[in-house]
Amino acid sequence: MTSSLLLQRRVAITACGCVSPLGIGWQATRNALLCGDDCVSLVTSFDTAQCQCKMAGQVNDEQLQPASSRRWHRCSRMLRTALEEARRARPNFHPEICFMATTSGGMSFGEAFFHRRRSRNSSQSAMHIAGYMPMQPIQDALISLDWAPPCRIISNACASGTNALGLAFLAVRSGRYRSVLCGGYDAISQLVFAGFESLKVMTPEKCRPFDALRTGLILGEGAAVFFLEDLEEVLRRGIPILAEIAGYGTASDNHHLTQPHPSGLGVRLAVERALASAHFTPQSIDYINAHGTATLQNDLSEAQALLALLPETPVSSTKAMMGHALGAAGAIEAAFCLHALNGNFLPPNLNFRQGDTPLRVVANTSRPAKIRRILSNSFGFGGANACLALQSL
Amino acid sequence: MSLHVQGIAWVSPIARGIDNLIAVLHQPTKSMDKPPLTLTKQLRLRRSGRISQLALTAVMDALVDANKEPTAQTALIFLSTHGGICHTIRFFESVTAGGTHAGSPIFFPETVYNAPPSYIAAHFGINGMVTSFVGDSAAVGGAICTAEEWISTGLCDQCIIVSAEEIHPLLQDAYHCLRLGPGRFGGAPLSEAAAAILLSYELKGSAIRAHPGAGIKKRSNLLPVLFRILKETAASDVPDMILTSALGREAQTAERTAVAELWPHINTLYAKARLGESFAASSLGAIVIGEALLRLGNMHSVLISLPGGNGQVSAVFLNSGNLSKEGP
Repeated sequence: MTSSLLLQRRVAITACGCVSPLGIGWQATRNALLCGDDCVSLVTSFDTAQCQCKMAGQVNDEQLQPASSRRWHRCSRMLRTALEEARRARPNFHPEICFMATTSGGMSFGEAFFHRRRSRNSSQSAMHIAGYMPMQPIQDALISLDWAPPCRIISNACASGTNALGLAFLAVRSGRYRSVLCGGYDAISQLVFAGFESLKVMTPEKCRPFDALRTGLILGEGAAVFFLEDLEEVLRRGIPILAEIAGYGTASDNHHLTQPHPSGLGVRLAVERALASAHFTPQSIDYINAHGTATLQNDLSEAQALLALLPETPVSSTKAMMGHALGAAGAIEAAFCLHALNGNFLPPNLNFRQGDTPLRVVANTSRPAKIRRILSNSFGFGGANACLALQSL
Repeated sequence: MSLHVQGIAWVSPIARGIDNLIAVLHQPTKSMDKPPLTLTKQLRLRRSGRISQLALTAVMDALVDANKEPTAQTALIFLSTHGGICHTIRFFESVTAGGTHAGSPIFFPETVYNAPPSYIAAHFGINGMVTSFVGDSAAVGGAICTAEEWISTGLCDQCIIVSAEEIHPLLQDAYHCLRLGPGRFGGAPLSEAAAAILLSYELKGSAIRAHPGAGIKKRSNLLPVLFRILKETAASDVPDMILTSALGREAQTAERTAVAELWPHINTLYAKARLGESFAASSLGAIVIGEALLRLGNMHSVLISLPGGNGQVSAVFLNSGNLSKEGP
């Protein structure tokens, strides 16, 4: 183990591209975070009339890069837009490998194929099938940029985004790779919306993470990408650094397929491992971007774990602003953390009135703060728990 | 230091267990005359999809084969191309029939790609590095590379890689639309299946190395990229056999051309013709077959070609002796 520690490289984020309901691009995202914009809107792409929840955080398609082919899914457009933003900031980056996260990929294409086959309409079926596969959107986006790195697509439910960044971090840290592309993407689809509706975890009103009277989550969508590079090499070449990924922790709580362990066991393990991986003390953390879906069980278990480990650290869930983007959530929220680090402010936890725990929630409005170290949490079905540790330099 | 294959498993209607697998490969005409597949029954799996049952059964078999138990330091990588497609389609059928509000809550949780590894982790008490990759055959190379990265950096001391696929008529329909599959398209019939391997640095079993792979920008790039990857993966070692895994059409043609150019007289086995098409599980199964053949003692090395259908290519090399220091 000692020799492994000695060989560990430090990992820098040199560029970021983000597409979310908050907006497209660095400035739009920053402004929305600072202002605490509520970017949730009525779902119109499928019928939600009889659903408990009728809202979602949705990306404005008019601001996305146009599709290079009619075979492209919306995810491909979101990814291309995010990649273009990152490339503008770091034009000479060439990824040796790519780690991407998604839970549903081109699901709406799969839905379309299902409907067409059932109605015995075979037109465009091949297009829908090709675009439905979860790895196709990132393949499309990469090829459009004339990139062809090996790709590893992670699908660990709602922890996927943080897992992808974590695996990319480990790849650079190990010294095997010097330049790694990572991120996550997911788009609203009827199947997934119906899935969460069926579990009765969606709210009929506002998404209120950590609020005592919270009633459930709202779904979202988007894509975020990051360029990770060997930090010492980047410093030597004078390349600007957005932040450092200092550590990563993951844990499986083995409790239930959809419910977190009520004691917050998995959360606690993931956070402890991230802190250990980064060599951070709990007291040195300035802000926690929580998973905070606003479901009864998740928020309680997460709060219990955070109170046990970091009781004094400000916490917010940005899902109240844009919904839960599932596989993309961890990646998008990491982008929000970059804003917090670079802008020295705490992103707000909207719609918060009163908590049912002593958690120090950043209620409703952003506020300035000296921020150097952040933890970003993501937890998912199957007991998947992941935590990323970031710091500014 | 090389990674070694500690245990292997194959589970499918055609064959379960390594001895049965080898027997089927030798006597394919009897492969269809099989009793129904019996999978592990666990209370946790009572509502699970078949893919989870297949995956857990394969992991159990691989651990028995290895004569090992998972520890707290054991990592788990699950790999699938289509995931829990049966539950996904059943769930969407309930939505289509009744509306967005009417989906069945029994089916939805099983649609997530990481449902199978969550059952495996819960069964064995694994609470560390557990991840799910989505991909086709080339993703197997990525999974093995990930396992090697984790073990070499001390994140775990051994890693289980398991892949499982289930099938559905709509999936068959989909591949027919893509002009892939059996008959005139030159591929193999679909089959549910699961494969599992246990890897560690312990000097037992064949040494294994995987190419991290590469992407394909366009179809015409497939042959030169595959050629390069096969060559780099074998390095200075000359394999005794190639296990091919192409689905059909261009990928198979490219595979045959690349192999003929690199090793014109090499033995080639297209196991899918006997076992059926199970996507990522077939490719991990090819590694199982390779290890099983090496255990027979008639060969020293096997190369598994992994040209995926979604723009990724990889390859894996198995050697019953020591691997050369070269390699990807």
